[in-house]
Amino acid sequence: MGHGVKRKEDPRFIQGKGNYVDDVKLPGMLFLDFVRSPYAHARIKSINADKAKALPGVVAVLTGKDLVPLGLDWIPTLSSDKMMVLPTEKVVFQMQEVVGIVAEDRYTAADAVSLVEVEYEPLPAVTNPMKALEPGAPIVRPDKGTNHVFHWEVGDKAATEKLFSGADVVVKQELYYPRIHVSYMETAGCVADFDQVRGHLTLWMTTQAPHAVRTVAALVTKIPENNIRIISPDIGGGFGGKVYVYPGYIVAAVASIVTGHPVKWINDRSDDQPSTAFGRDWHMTAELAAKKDGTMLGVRIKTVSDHGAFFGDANPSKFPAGLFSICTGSYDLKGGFAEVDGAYTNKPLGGITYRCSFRVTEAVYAIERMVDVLAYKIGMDPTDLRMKNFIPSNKFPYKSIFGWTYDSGNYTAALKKAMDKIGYWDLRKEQAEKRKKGELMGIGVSSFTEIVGAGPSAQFDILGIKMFDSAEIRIHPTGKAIARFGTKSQGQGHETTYAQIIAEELGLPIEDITVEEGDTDTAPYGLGTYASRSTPTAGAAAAMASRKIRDKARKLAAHLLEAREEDLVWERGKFYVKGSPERAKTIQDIAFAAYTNHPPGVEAGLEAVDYYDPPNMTFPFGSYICVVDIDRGTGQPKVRRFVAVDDCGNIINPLIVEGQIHGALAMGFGTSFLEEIKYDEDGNVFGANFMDYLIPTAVETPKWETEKTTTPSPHHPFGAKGVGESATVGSPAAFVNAVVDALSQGGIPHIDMPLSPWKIWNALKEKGLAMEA
Amino acid sequence: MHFEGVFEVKAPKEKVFWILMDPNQISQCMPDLQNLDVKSPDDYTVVVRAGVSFIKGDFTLHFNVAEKSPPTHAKLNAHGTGIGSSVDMETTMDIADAQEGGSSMKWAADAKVGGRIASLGQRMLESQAEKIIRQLFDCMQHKLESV
Repeated sequence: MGHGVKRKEDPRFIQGKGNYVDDVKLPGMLFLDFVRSPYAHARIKSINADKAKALPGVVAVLTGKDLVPLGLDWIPTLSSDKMMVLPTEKVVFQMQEVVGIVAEDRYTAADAVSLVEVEYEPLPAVTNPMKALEPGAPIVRPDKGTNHVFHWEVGDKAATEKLFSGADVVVKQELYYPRIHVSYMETAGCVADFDQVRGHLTLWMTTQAPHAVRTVAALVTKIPENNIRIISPDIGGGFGGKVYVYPGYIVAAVASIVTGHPVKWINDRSDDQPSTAFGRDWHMTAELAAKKDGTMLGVRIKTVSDHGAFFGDANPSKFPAGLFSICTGSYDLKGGFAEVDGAYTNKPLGGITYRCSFRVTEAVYAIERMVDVLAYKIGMDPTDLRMKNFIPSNKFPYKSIFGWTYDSGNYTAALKKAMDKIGYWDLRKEQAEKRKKGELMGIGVSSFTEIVGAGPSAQFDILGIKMFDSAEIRIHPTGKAIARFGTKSQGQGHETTYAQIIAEELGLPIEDITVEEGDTDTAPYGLGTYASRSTPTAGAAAAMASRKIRDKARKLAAHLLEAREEDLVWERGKFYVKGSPERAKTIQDIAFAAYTNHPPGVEAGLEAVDYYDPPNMTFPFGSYICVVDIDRGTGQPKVRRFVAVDDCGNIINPLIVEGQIHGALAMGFGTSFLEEIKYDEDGNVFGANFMDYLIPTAVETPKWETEKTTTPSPHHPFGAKGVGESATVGSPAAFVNAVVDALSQGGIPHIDMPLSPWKIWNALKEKGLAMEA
Repeated sequence: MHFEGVFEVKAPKEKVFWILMDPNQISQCMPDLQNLDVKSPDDYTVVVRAGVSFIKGDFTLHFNVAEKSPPTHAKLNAHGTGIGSSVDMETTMDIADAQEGGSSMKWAADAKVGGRIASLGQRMLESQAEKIIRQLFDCMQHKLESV
């Protein structure tokens, strides 16, 4: 552990030998495609599929009416709401699936799609969540009778009001976190194969949570759970977008049952981007109260969140607004109040995708942005203000005003390290010089605290299933091992990370350990991979299962060494009798004995299972500093330097962690500068393809300078914390703070993401600061 | 989207009106006509092959004449679907004698485009629509001046 071992999975990926859903090819396989709605909100008057049915090669046509007798026209979402599979009465967002066409090949299916005539009666659409909550707004969900999804709040409202009214300074800012899409390399898809003789359904699908899908599928379809096998093969990126069950999965399964053939469905990019779950879309009004000297007192945030037509956030049931209550951030505050109202709109299902960590992304952005707004208001350097208000390192474990117990942290050390690395005070001098010359340079800081690793079962469940995770390790007679997990890698490198944990605990060489995930017939039950939970939960289970194996190995070693168990000493990979290290039995010797020479009273075999229920969340943190230069002629922001100091406790594989941070920083960069899915008033979606929806390539992405501090989690078996989302969560505030810092000399208080050159230039122009041709 | 313009042609207004109101004539000037189904001169359906950017396919358009005062005024409504998209269009035409002979037609069209074409072809939509309109008038001009 702690070594930058090259990833075990990479040889197959870099040689094009990965096995993704679209690589699954079965004899007699048919293909599913969808007729999609051009309207965001319309009543379906008629569907005429005669011409499509007449096209040679078309095998079946499925509409919502065909799903009604099966009870599959609507299915439950992960947030105890329900969502349409195929509509029977009306469509509720543009690009919604309306009719499924099954044909002998993809091209025929696509041709048949264009032959289906659907007659619509357009209805007024609502795409703005604030308008959706106004009286008289078009109702998206007649079954609900209102566009209001939920109200959630945390904190003491009255006490916070008092705190604010007695404060020297109160700053307030509207912050919009735009709607974005995960844009994974592999779009959503599946192959459904129903065996009519056995009544058995096998579903290869791009899911981050195969076991949860199996259980929900069993409950919804009434197919016994032992007759459903979900296989999640290699996944080309998930980022939360593949936690959901999309209509394509259901219709493919029904189509396979109806036709008796395997059915494949792979979303086109331009179908996937505008119809699958999205991230963010939060409209926040944030306030911070402080004393004149910069002592921060309290935070108050009011949010309207846009959930689209179905409330489908993959949230733990007790947390409709996710873990937004982490919005007190890295600061020791006296009080606060946060509330969120969710709204239905004519957009696809609401989500919390894109490495968002159960709404931690929005929370961190709000508090880190507001600290800068306050710093600007009182004329204090933003790093001084942060240092003054950080939770002191001697106050951990720290109980936040909203009830979380932060496990460990040393915020000052991380920020100090980032400032030293980037040469913070020299940069401020340079900035002052540049300002005299009229040049725009900004420095942005973000000192975030994340909350990941869901979670303790007392608080965390998805649809009632507790959020533990699992590992099952089996040591073969020759000392090689197979380990299976309830999680599912989508590129995170689990095959390497988990092998390293087991190698550390049992002293086996990493190459002797096969890691398997994603097949519900073989893997132990688990809740899957998202929200940076795999290492905190399944990684911990790997350590715990290894320790169970070690306990049994001790019995076997005692037998082999003819010694008492308590006289044995464990040293990486072997047991020896205290005082005679030369008489050792290696784990391989012991494994062999487990099958060939086990003592009476001890079961044969060497294996263990562990279901790890973490006692608390883990709270990774870090400090990021961004330096940006802005061209006054074009508004183009250029990130000159970006230093990221991360602390995720003890690191298993620094190479993988650095890779995670680099990737997540690129995503944070994309969010901050490029990405947004927008809708017009009629519900037309813009940003549905890579021509209009910009994601960063190697050309745009700045060079990252990464550093770390190490503050282990006291409750995790080996002191690790999750890290997958830290940089996506932490970096946008640093980028925005840097750009706004550059613009602040012109009195520009805030610009919402994405910070496009056009938006920046217009803000400059308004203040007479833009250079015009 | 709103489009408007003036179309001038060396032909009497009766002839212009006749061409505009005859589905068999006007449809020939539509881009890549695949099919024409005339229920009556005031109610007809055309299938055209159209596309914006990389989205191409057949588009079915139902036309119906909403107002008609020969030979000076007409209003034509069109509703169409295809390629995962929808269009609703209202076009008014007012024809008058031109000063130098011939006639001049003032026209205005309001189009509401939804679906895939609206979202994917956003950047090209307007210029593409203008191109189609230009082609339509060029074709009509040719017909009117040569027949």
